[in-house]
Amino acid sequence: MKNIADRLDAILQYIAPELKRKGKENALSNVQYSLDLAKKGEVKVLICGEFKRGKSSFINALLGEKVCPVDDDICTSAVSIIKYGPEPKIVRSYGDLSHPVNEEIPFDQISNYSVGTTEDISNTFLLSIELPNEKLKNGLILIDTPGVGGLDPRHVLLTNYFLSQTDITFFMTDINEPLTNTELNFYKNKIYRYSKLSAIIVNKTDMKLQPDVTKVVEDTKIKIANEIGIHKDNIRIISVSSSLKNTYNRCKVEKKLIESNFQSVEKLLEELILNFKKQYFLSIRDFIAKELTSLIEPLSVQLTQIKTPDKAKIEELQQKGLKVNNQLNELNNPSSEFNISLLKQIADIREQVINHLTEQSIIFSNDGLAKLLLNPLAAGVNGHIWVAEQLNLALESLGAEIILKMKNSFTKITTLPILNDNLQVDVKDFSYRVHAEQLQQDTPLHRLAVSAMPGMGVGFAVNTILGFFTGGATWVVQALAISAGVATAIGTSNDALTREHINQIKTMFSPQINVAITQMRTSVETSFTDFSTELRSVLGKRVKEIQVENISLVSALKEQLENAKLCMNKKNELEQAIKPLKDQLKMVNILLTDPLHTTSSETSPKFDSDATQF
Amino acid sequence: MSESTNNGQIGDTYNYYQQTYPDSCAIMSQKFIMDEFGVTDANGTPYSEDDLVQYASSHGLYNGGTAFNDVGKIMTDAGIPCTQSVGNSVFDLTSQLSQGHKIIVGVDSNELWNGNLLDWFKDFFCGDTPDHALVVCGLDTSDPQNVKVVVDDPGSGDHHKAYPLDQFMDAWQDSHCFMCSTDVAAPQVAHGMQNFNYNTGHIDNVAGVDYDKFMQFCNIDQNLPDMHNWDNSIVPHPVESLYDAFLDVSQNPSVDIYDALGQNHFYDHVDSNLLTTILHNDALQGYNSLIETGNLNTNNLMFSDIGDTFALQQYFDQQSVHYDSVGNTDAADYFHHQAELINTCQTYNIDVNPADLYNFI
Repeated sequence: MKNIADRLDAILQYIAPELKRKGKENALSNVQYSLDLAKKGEVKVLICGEFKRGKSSFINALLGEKVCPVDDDICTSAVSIIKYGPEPKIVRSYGDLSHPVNEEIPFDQISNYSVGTTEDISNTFLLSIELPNEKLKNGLILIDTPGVGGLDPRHVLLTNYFLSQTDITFFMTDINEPLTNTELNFYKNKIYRYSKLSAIIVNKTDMKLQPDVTKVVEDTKIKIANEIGIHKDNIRIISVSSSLKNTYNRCKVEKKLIESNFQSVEKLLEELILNFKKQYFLSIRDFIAKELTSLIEPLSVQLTQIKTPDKAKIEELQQKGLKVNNQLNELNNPSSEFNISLLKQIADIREQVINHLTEQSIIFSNDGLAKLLLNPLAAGVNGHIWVAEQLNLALESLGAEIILKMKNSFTKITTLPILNDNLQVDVKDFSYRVHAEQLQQDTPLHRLAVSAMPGMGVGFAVNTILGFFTGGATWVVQALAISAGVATAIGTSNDALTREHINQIKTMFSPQINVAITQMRTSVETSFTDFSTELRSVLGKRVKEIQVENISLVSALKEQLENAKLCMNKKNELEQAIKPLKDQLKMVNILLTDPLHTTSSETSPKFDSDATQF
Repeated sequence: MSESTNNGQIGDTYNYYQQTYPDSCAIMSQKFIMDEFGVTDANGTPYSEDDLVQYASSHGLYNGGTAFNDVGKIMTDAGIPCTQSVGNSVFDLTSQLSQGHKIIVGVDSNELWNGNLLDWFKDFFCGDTPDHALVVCGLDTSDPQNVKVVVDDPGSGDHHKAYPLDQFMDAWQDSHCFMCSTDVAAPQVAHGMQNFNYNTGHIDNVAGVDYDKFMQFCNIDQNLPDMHNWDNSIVPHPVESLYDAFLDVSQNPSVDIYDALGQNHFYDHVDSNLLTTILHNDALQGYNSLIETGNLNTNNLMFSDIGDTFALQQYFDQQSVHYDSVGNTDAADYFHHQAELINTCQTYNIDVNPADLYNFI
């Protein structure tokens, strides 16, 4: 038990600063006081009863030595407190209760002060006795009182005082004296009300036969139980013979000890002391556990209120940040894969378009024009006009094709996700024409036109067949095919144009075709320049937009991370604060619990009252 | 003069630390700890050995001894949570002690009590024979050359008996370094808790080493490969070098951990041949750096620059296939061991000894 006290004390000392901080000094001081008492191990047992019930004799029998004077004719007239001391010592207190005088007296003069009616005796109200007695060594303190019916108001006052201060009360009755109303009232109104644990001792059993003793004990039990209003089984009662025990003390005859029944008293006393101490410790343990819980609970609540960092949100921001950073790096770094790829893509498109134009230019200037000139319609009077119309149709088709090609290529770039639809490029239409000038010889126009009609039909048929096989034949080829058909038709109609006429037309259109193609190339170059300029502008704008987005993302991420860090720090801090308290709670909750259930419940009598509550 | 006589016993012959059943060592070890925690019956009386034997018997925890799996279960039932583990090292032991936890270990009693060559031969031919449980109370590192493990041994009845660390380790290894430790620190009144800091949950310094620094050693230890004897020969394990380094630091706290590791041949446990094969490219890079700049960039020689253990794993895979084909699994174990060791070095930025690499270059 002493070990339990040390354990409780250590835990109490651990939480004491926190309790003080919470303004619980009073509760702490109360429990500390109780713990100090428990650690001392002192248990005060009050022996009280009517006059001449054998209280002093009982104490002498219990201790095995004659401490309290006993005599048939005289009574105890002072309260005696008997406890362990290395040497026998008596201090008497006399005079006024509020201003007592203490005086050590020789041990052999005790009877001069504790019994009788002399002046000294009437003055003495308390004797503090220390004895080197083994039975007192475990902290037992016996308090002998004068009879409850005494006239000295100081004795009544002291007895009443000790009733509430002592831990166990033995109420002494005499087997030969029926319980008086005074005794019943005293038990009901004083002992039962104020004492923490109590038992009734029926003394002087040696003066009756055992059946009678049993009957008196049972009667006493019933009377007191009825008086209090509880069941008789809840009354602790033992019948003893102090006389037989004193005989045993003198002659050590075992039979006398058994007959005296003092072993039951000692057992009861031992049990009551054990339970008294246990109740003390349990109260202290429960107090500490309650306080520990009250310290843990708010911290636990705080812990549950800490928001868990939004990992998904942080991850999302990190991913976005990574993407944005990559975009910035791609855009800002001239040698980034993106920039190199973009430049290459634009260069490739440009090269394709220019190459295409160059090819078409050669076709126009050589094969295309030559084939047109072979057409009989070209040989007519207005053959040059017809050739001009055919060439313009072809140039128009070529222009449209180039524009479409550029638009399609630019769209591939403008729809890149990184540009975020900010780049809107509209390729300007362009159309370049050739002009028919006046020839030196006139040919009737209506004849040329009429003779060309069947050939035109052949031209369209050829066009259709070519279209079927090539699928994607260009407008230029189609135009040339139609023209060739027309030329065949004219060829069959003979003789209209001379070789010079043809040369004149060729000389007229060749330079014009070159000029038109060159102009077309210039337009293409301009479109690419415009596109590149616009693209650079949009990319610059996008860099700024992404930088702003990046700053916002970094800021959001920083905030999230800081919050997460704060949360984690707070969580760690709280867990760090809770863990030792929980460990202490675990330690305190282990105490006196019999976790393996080896203790019988019969050995745990209940307190008579709630007097030990703090 | 008071003298008691009972059953032929004269005076006080009772030894609290001595088990009275032939096979109640684990129960008694738990009793020691339960008594330290103040576990008692409802009247405040500590449980006796008989009480606990009876309890264990009726709960299937005792049948001609206690199975290692059941060690700690009485304590758990009594409200003291605890954890069992195997494969522990002296760092784990020290770490648990520094957290105020109480520890039961499994040992080969003959090896512990006798510690002679005969027992070593017995292990060699008959295998490990762990047969005993006892409580480790502490470690005495006051003489770094002669570290001692202090135990309460219900088998011998010894209280605070000190054994040389090596002898204890030999006996402990027979149980695969089994340990059952409490999850909570012992109470203030328990033995050895005077310097325990209940607010932090550990003692402030471990053998003179600041706790945080001690934990660095523990963390490295946690990631070291398990003990292994290749070809049935006893090969020194890096944890021994690690512990020697710890003792050096405990003697002189200003010594850097990595310097202490170097002085205690920690790097010798890394196979430089294997390592340089894996580090070929990194080593060459360092060499090129030397040529270009005139300065050796040691970063290129660090484990951390291996990049990943993928190459090692590949190397290991090739070797293990080769060795497995002739039935020699030691090689596979060896490469696994090296892989784990190098991983640990990577994790804790432990530098390899550059001298190993110079030879290769």
